[in-house]
Amino acid sequence: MENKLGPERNVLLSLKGVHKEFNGFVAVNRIDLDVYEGEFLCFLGPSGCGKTTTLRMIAGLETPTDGEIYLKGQRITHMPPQQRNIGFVFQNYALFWHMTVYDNLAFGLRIRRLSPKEIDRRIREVAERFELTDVLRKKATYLDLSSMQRVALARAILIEPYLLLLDEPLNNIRPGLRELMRADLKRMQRDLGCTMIYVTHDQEEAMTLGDRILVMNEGRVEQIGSPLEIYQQPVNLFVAGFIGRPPMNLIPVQYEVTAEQAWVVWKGYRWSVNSVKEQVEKSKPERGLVLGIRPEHVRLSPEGLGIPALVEVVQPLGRKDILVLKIEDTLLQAVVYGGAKVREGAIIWVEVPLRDAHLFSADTGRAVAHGIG
Amino acid sequence: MVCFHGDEGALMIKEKGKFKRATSSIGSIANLLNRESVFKIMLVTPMQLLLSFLLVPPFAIVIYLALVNWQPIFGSWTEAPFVGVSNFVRLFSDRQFFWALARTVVIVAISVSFQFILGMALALLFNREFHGKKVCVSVILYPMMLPWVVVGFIFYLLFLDHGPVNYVISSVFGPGATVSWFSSSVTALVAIILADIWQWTPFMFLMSYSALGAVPKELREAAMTLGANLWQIFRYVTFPTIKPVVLIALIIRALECFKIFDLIFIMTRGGPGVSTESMSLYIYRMGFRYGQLSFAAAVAIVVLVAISLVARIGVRPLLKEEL
Repeated sequence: MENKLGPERNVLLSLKGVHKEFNGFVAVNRIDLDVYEGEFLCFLGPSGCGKTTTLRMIAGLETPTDGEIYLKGQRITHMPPQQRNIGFVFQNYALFWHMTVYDNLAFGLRIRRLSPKEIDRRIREVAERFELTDVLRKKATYLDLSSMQRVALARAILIEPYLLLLDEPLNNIRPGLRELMRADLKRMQRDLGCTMIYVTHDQEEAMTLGDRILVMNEGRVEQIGSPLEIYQQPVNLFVAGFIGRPPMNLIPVQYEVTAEQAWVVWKGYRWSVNSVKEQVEKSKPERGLVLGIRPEHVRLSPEGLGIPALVEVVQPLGRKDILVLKIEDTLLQAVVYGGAKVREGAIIWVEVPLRDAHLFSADTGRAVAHGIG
Repeated sequence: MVCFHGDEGALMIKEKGKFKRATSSIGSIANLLNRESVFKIMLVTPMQLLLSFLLVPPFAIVIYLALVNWQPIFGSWTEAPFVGVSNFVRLFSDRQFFWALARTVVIVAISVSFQFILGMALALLFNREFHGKKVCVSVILYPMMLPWVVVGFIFYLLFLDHGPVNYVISSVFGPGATVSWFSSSVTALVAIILADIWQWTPFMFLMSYSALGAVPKELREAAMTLGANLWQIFRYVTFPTIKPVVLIALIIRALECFKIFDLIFIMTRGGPGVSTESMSLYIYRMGFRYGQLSFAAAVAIVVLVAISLVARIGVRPLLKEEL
């Protein structure tokens, strides 16, 4: 994996062939991963894809069936969680509800036998930055969700962990506040410079928070890369379909070569793919190719040019509209600016610009080419 | 809140703490119901009356009996002579009463402590998944379902001079080591307490086990990631969260155990002499063996007051915790 954050960054955490089975069910399938110091890494995937299990193995709450985990070069695969010094923020925050906020924050420090004076100093400092000073004496049960989240985070940070793991911490927060807290988290991570792994099934969260994103599916790593990489160069059909909202249009097409010219053909329309001919031939597409085009890249064109399409549904979002278009029997989504004033039932003409399109092998699902021409 | 009132079906809608009438039909009653306090009292009254009828007469009879001097052989209890507090005076000068009280307290203290420790230990042991767990749990709960009399009889047989316990002792330590369990008060009490522990540890187990099951595992895991070892997790996280339930279980068990009767009655009949007599047996002896029902009533009242005070003290931290 290429280190996008620069060569000076050190590897903090390494997963080597980490594998986890529960009674024969493979939850995590031989994952290799390097996490760099100071980075914000997001695990993104549908529920049940193994991202939380991976996180729990890093924390030591689950033991891998196979493979090794290294933290700062030291093997920690079987080290109990108590000795790892890895912070964990749970989805439901797991605050000690019988304790005050202060006692919650002091928990890890008291176990480390710091002097009460030192504990107090550190708590005051952290409480200040997390805006918890006013609720320090409150019982944890009586807090609102956003304060609970901050307490959970502050409690994990106070032990000065090498690494902070967050398991969908914004899941229970209402939209609106969620975005604010997301921004808060990002700012805080930058200020503290701590390394974080953040598990989420919300791609928007992963895209906005992560320096890098790891896309998981069915226990496997599908792709690791920066948000832009993952958006622009999805390595396979799963990532292509999972990232982006509305999802990428995936159209099965035929590959044809006539007189040294390479084409993809769909319903009588043909696009020249000469520029990527070599890549396509190398992938030997037996069952053809899949053309991927993001809804935001589908363009309206003047009447008579491009492909005629029936507007099935218009979903206005204000600044932009999501159109569901029907071309013969195929549905295609397109995002157009609200100013376009498209009406349902109308026939419009659209264009699929190949330089924004992706080609995937229909056999393996792997990406063949990004941006053609 | 919406309620239908009476056969007229006048719909009342509660709004900002007051009842507003949607459809008017019965003027005055509806007006009365408009007052929230009246409405609340009316809701509570039937149950309160029922409870009062169930509770007040027996209390009244016991208090009446304690203030007169009545024995069944004297004739009708309504004509018994009034003696004021003399039953109570006699009670406080009776050493057997204090001995029975002290003995009962000791039984409760030892028995309930062991039940708590064993029950909690078992619950912690069972607070994970393993094969055959369901079967084990039902086996553990079995003693609790046995009638007192059966348990008493089992332990009576176990501790007989030629019973299994002595057989084991003599085969391990030699024939000289056997104990004649029921011939001294201390060994007899040990047998009684063991029987009670055996029968009621399952109860403490059940309560602790279900309370533990309700503690989210994330709490323990969070404590782990913060560096707490198993003992610290139990001491600072798990136990405090289940404390209210455990405290209630302890109070229930202590109150139950204070009334201990059947076990002792079957195993020793309070003997040798009166040396294993509990409070209940003392009351039974006074009331039924000696026929001094008035005196027994006085004892019952004193015991009731004492227990209520103790229970009150026991419940107090619980109330403080919750409110």
